[in-house]
Amino acid sequence: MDNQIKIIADQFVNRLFAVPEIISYNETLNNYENNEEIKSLTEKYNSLAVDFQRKQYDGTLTQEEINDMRSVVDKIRSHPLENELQNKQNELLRVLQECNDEISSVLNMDFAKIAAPSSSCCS
Amino acid sequence: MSEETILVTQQVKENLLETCGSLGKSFLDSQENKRFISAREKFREDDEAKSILRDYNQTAQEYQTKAQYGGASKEEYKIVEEKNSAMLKNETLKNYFESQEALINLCKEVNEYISGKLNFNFASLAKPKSSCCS
Repeated sequence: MDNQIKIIADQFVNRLFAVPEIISYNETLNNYENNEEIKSLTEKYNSLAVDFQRKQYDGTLTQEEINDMRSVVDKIRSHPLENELQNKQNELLRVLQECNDEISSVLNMDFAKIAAPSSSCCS
Repeated sequence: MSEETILVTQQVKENLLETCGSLGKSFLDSQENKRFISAREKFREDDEAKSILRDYNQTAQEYQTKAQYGGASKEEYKIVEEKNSAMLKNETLKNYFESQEALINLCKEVNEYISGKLNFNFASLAKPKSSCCS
């Protein structure tokens, strides 16, 4: 990467950080990650998930365990911060896609499609 | 939101999009892109290279279709490999593929650089949504 591209890439990052949607997303993400209730629910989810997958594979999963898992997932999904984070993420995505459209229209090819790391199916 | 805030927000967005345009242009001005454009032009003017590529694509496609239904033989795979080797010996095609790869690598490198500073992968989030495995 030559120096000119690096300078413009730095400017792009700095200007992106100044956009309200990015500021707002980072603030919400910070609140989300530091929220005690979310932290505790995430920890509970992670600890249940290990056994859940193994038991699902072995066919030894009980209805009670399914209900426990469902309850934790429902609590996370219905948490106000979860919804807020989802909304901010959608706003962030719109801005990023707008940026990609602009870069791609100059390049005459889809920058993000070419530059994105290849991932496994549905990841 | 006050009128002043709206104006500032608009300006911030305009500045961002202007930089996106500059970033796109810096790719166009890069050595990697210039080499790719030149190699692509040579390919477009080279009938032999086009014929070799067409022949390889056809053979590879036929093999893939057969392989999908379990009807491809080792001999057929060998033919695809031989045509692939022959294709890469053609100077026009070799330059075309290599320059294309270099341009793609530049895009990936810039994305990694940007993403490292943003703490999320820019291209993964900004690329158009597609169906699975497309």
